[in-house]
Amino acid sequence: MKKILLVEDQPLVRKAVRGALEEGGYAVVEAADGADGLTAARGDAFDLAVVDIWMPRVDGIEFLKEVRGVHPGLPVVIISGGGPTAPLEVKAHLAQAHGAQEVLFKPFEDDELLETVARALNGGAPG
Amino acid sequence: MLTSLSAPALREVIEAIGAPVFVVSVDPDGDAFRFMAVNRCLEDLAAVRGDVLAGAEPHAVLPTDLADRLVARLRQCRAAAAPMAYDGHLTRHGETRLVRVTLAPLVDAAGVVRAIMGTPLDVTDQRRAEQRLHAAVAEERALFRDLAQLSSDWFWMTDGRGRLVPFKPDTGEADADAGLGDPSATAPASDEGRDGEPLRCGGAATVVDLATAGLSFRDLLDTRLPEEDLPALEAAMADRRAFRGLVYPQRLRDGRARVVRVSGNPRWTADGTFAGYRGVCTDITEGRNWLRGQIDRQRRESLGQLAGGLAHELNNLLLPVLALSRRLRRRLPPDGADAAMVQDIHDAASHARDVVRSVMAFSGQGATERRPIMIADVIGRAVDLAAGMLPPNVAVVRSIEPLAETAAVRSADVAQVVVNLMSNAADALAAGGGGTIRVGFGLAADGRGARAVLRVQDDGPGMDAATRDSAFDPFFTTKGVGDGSGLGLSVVYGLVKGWGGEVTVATAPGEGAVFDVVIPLMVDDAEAGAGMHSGTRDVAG
Repeated sequence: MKKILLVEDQPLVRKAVRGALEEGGYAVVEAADGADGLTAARGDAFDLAVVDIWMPRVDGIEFLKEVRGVHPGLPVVIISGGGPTAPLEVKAHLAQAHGAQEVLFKPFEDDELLETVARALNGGAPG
Repeated sequence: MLTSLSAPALREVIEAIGAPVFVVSVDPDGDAFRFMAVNRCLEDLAAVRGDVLAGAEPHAVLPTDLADRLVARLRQCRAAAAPMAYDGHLTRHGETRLVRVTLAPLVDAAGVVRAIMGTPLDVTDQRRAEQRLHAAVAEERALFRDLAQLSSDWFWMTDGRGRLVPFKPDTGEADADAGLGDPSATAPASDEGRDGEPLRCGGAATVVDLATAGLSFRDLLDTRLPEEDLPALEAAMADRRAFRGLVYPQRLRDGRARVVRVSGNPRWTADGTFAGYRGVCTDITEGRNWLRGQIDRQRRESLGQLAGGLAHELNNLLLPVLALSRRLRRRLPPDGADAAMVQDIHDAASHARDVVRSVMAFSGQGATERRPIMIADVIGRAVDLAAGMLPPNVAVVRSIEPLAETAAVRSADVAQVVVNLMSNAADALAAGGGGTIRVGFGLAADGRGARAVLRVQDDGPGMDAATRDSAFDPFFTTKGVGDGSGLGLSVVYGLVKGWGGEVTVATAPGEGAVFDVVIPLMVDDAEAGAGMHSGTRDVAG
């Protein structure tokens, strides 16, 4: 069973995404922000990470930069709901510049999520 | 009679006069004049001695030039046999003194001029003071003329009934006979200092482009716009009070509106009669437009930030609603009432997601994939699409230049902008039973680089200033509740801003509306690859 690290600060989003991933046949480890996510990443091996961008303490972009030192080939799917300062596309651009395979904009549905995760897992190591 | 007095007696008489006096006898045979007597005041004034002068002809005792002038005047006086006065001068201790000389002929019983009495008054100090005063007045006049020419203000003056009259700085009084000096005359002012020339001020061509003579400030009002401070201005003038900085819109002869700031003082004649007003008038249109633009921009940016933050929160809340309702729906028997309710929840959440996306598009937060596209093609197709959706009583006139230039925009967004602007125009026309929408597209003619302009113009009822100022605000609508979301133009604003372009509207009640969308064009191939990474998903599509 593929193991996915889910880094998301909103509990309800985390719960919904976790449910979809588990129904899709994945094992899920939750982290409530980027700092927790990095701790988890250092202690375990993962097949993929699903990461929010706008989070307290360590945000998604920072997480992406750091996690490359631990798991250089870890596929990452960014999930973003936008924010008050930078347009979505700027953040998506940044995420891709730091090696995210996919960017998914909230709110999305289970099918979209599972398709995106499957695509990222099949894409192999990021370029 | 003075003519019969001896010289000593005469001297006693004139000594009693507290001013310089001399008396000369007139030789009955010819032109010769001889000093008979002078008083002490004259001795002081001319630095002469009476005993030296007595019995002597002027040329014998005075400098030749002074004697020449004096004798010439004495001859005039004798010939006229009437009093006369003239301005002269004399030199005393090397200093020139200006004198005002009065000559009075003394006649005998037979009417023959026997003597002439002269009173030269020293007016040196008085004349110099006058000269200084004249120089100061000339200097002030020149200063005023320069300031008026350099100023971009319009100087105005009214008569007692509040009618504008030509402005004359020289006398400070309006001259009704000076002709109706049209301040729009552009000839450079010249000889302003001359009496009778109305002053024409320099740069204020916009404000002074009005045939104002005989008109009141109310006559100059642009009636399409709010009166602003005009009632206050009229109240001040009715009370004959000074007023400062009152603002109202004037309409030029070519129909353009200019907002002006007017200040004025009442003026009174020397005897206290009210004579009207004089004052200045400043064109503040550009400054006001700039300020309004800044305020609009700030407000929209604040709104955009608020909308972006709100959208982020809502997106996070909508995700579980959408995902979980969909998941629950799958688990329920498909035909049950519960499944229908859950479907309603999902549908409502989907609709909420669309609203959030519209708001994000307004705030420039929307996700867009931008590739270089042939903008003219996309606009042409979008106009066709939109025209097909309009009511039959709305005609569309196209003028799309087939430009080859590209722009880094998303074609769906361009279509959205075109459709929203044309729908908005059609809604405006529908109120009046139809009309025409003109859609134009071409290169911007403003010389600010590679930009194209899309223009959507309707001949509908137009908008007042308040509606125009709010036209791009999200949720602002003039339609009834339920007729429109109020997001259409705000989405246009957000998309265009996202392109780095700008959208403006020119409108007035009864004059339709003209929306201009400025679209930055790509300048070379290097930028053509600057579109988003192909992996980026497009949520708005």
